[in-house]
Amino acid sequence: MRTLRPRSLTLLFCLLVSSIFLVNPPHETWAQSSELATARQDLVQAFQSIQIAEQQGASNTDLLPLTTQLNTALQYEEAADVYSRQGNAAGSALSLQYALQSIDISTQVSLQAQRLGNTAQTTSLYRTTLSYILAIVLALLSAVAILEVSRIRGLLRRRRLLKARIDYGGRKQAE
Amino acid sequence: MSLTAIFSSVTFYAMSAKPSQSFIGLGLYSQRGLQGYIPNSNLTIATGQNLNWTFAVTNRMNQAEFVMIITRIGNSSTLTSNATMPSTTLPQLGATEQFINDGETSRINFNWTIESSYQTAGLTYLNVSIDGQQSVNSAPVGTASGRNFRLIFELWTFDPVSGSFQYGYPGQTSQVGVWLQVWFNAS
Repeated sequence: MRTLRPRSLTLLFCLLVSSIFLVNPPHETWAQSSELATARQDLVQAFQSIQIAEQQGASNTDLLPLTTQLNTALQYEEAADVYSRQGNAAGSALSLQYALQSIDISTQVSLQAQRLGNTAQTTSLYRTTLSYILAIVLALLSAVAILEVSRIRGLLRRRRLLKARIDYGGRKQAE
Repeated sequence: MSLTAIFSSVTFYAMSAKPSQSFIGLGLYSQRGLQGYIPNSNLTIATGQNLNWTFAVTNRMNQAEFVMIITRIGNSSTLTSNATMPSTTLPQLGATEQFINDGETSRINFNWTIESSYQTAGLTYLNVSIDGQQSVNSAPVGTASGRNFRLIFELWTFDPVSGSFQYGYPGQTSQVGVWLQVWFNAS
């Protein structure tokens, strides 16, 4: 049997590789996988933003709507994953659509969580500062009250005496 | 000075978060009753029968959690998950993920069907579909006459440090495994 010349082998190899790319363009597949991976990353990032906002003092009530939105984004991401596994053009298009929706929601959640966290941190700082100032003021008032307790008693006694009615009964009897 | 220290201490105590034990609870319920927590129970499931169960996951971790519930299938001789280790040798039928806010109890639907069964070497194997997804084969887990299968549910939580899910939830010293099982017979 005649063996093929190296040039013919090279040509055959190039034809085979080209036919693979024609059947399944790598660029499109790579783009879809990229969007799906981004959707997943953004979900995790948004979740971490929520946790950071919690640490900064944001309340559960404020964060609950964000968690609900994140679950919606998660459903979109899962749908994108399911459609991407179909391996056809329609599935790929739907996968991309759902992935982009998931990314959009996750990004919004991240921004809102950061905003809530910053607000909560500022509020918490004001509240803490005010509480300690109040504590110092109360301490000073208590110290004044303790030191001046005798003077305060004297003051109260004098006011009581001034308010009391003078009884002229002794003078009437003498008369 | 001492009064300032006393009042400041009281303020600090009042503003500090009180200590609490963090945990995540996992429950499973059905409107028709599960009847399957012990072997030799009467929970017999026919091929094609659709079962609608619900997970209840309670988050008391003082922070939002990203949880995943992995469903596996076993029989009476397979090792199950425990408080420290998942049963990774058992086939995984499906996984469901959910974000849960702190202090919330999330209800997650779990609908499953035995799509078909077959016998090989005297053992019955199942093809199980969860939440309308593609069915998964129970092999290498099979049972004699289709009796004493069990679904094993493991709770995993997302660890931001490692960027992956870890079995159970982070306890004070180590991960605390959380799992459930329901026995059933396939008819």
